[in-house]
Amino acid sequence: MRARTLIALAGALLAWEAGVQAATYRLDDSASQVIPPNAQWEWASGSLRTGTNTVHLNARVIVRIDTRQWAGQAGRIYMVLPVDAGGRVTAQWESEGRLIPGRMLSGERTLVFSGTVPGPVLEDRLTVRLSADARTLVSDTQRFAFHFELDTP
Amino acid sequence: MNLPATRSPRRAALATSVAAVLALAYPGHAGAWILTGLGTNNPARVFMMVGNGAAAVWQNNATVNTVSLSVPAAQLGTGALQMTSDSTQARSPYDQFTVCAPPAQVYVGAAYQRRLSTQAANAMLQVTAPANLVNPAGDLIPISEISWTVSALGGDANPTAIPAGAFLGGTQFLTNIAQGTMRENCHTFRFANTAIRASGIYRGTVTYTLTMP
Repeated sequence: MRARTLIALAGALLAWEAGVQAATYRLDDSASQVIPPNAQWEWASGSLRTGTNTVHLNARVIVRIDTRQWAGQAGRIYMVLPVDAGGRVTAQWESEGRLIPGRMLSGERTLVFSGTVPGPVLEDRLTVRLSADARTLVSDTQRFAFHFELDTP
Repeated sequence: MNLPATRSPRRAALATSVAAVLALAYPGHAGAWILTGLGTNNPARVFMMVGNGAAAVWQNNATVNTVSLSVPAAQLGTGALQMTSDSTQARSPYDQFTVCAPPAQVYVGAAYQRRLSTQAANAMLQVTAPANLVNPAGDLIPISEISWTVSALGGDANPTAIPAGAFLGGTQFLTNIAQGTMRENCHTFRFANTAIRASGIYRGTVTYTLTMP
């Protein structure tokens, strides 16, 4: 009887933590694909006249976010690009409509979905362009690891 | 006496719930999509062009132009005369903007882009000239008799980006090309014509170099 009460209490705490209190959760998007996974930096045209040193790289990303735990619930999903020691980059992306197109600097997170999570998987295709100032790049190979976070109300 | 026994399961229940909340906040399979930027095929680069050259920057062209002058007999040793060239290069190879008025003006342009912050901030534009122009008989005219002025058309904001000067013989510094920039203008050459020389065709080759340290 006491054990049943405690289990119920634990269940209530879980429900309160997961369902009532606003929280941020890192989402699993390990099913996402980047095409190509390695892309060449290219000099931006016109940069010599202005003295800028902008380089770009382009890629497509098939985003597949595991949202089964929040399907049918309201939430906001953000894309996050952590700061990298190799230099600051700007990410700009277009989507096919499920996620919100946008732009952000490394170290920021930007809203890509707001509303009721529609199902177990949130999927979209992004066309991504990274831009950087070549003067800040410190190595020839640099990894940019994007991830997604869900904020519950 | 019953209190300790009651507290202990509560602590256990609380610990379970906290562990469960943590597990929710940090699911074990959280992923990230990773894009790797590669610069190994896009290294630092320099570009330089004197006279006729590439249709666009960063392309190679082996053209060597000639700057020349026939001194009229009546003007031997009478003072500076403007030279002309066989260059037809009027446009910048960078954006096809008309910069020079050939053949009197010879286009000179240099650009440098570095890939990494650890690379040099400047590339160095230099010119190397022989001490003298020489005719087939071995007569000499000091190369220092040849000088140039600079200009650029089209409202260029920095028409003296590559400075005017005179050849000194040997290698001489012209200007630094800061990373991320292109410097270009037009050189008009002059022969000082300070003395009467033996007849003949005097030749010499000057070589411009752009060096990234």
